[in-house]
Amino acid sequence: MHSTNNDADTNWVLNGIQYAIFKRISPSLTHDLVSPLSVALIQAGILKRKLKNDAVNPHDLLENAVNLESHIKQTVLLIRAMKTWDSPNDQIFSASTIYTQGIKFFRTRFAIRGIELALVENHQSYAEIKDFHAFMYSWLGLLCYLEDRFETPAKVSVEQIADKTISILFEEKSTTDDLPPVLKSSEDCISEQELLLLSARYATTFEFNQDSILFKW
Amino acid sequence: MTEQKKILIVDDCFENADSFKDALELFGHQAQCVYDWEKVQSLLSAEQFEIVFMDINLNNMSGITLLEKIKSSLLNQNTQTKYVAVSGYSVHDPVGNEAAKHFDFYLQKPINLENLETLLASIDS
Repeated sequence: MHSTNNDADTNWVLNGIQYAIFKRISPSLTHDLVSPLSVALIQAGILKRKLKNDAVNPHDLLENAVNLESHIKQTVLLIRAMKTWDSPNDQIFSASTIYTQGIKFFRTRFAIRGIELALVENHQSYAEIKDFHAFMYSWLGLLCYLEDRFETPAKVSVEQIADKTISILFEEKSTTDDLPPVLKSSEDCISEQELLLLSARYATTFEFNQDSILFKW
Repeated sequence: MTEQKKILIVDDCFENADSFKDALELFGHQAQCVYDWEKVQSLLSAEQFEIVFMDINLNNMSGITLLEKIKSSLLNQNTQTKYVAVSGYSVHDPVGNEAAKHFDFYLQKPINLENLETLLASIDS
């Protein structure tokens, strides 16, 4: 069966939306890589200075070398994990893992926009996600949408209320604080429309209400 | 070599914090780590530190928000403490850029001893 031009266009639009989401979180992905590398560099620097100053205690030097090696190994594992995070659906994760990771990616981004992100941990589902992409892109897309939505500070409470449902409650706060400008619609803004396209592709659901959103998969 | 300073490191990653402490001690400073951001405010109310290095991506809390809380709770105390944001984000990233505006100094990871030494010297001057 051949796809129509319309299907092809929609596919390109969806690929564009996924790319916009990836672009938004890529600094967070590389940020995680930098930590073990930082420890390795510090350890290498300490080792170098000890040798230079003739402060050679074999036990101390060995400790620095072991630390250095272990953090380089950690960096290698993280680089490999980056290669697979966007891979086909052969990965098995629990919903909780992906949803907590998404919150981690966005917490600081939200904070600089004056959005307080509260995670209510009443229900944790360790059930495996069958379609990793569907869940991940829908969830990250929703977080992008929330980041773009508020023009004033807000409080966003995220709670997994059932095995396959996450509830997002929000409350905008009026303020005169000087916040960085929100993305304009001409930029890579994720609006309700983009979320609905994602949900149509991935058979996930977003229910928009005045002060809340329900995300189901 | 700068004169000895009392330094606090706020990072919920033990390995990052401890390794940073090793480096500062190698330079002759007195460094203390705090891994739980909830303890930072009370510690800073009780003790005076000359420099606070703070990771901006703490678990369940942004370093920027924590800094604001600290500054408002220490409002009436005469503090000369310098706050340094530590982050893997570049200052060209929106997160790094915003953090740089709030903190006195910004240290981008990965950290090497030369950069750290230069920063400590500039805090001194």
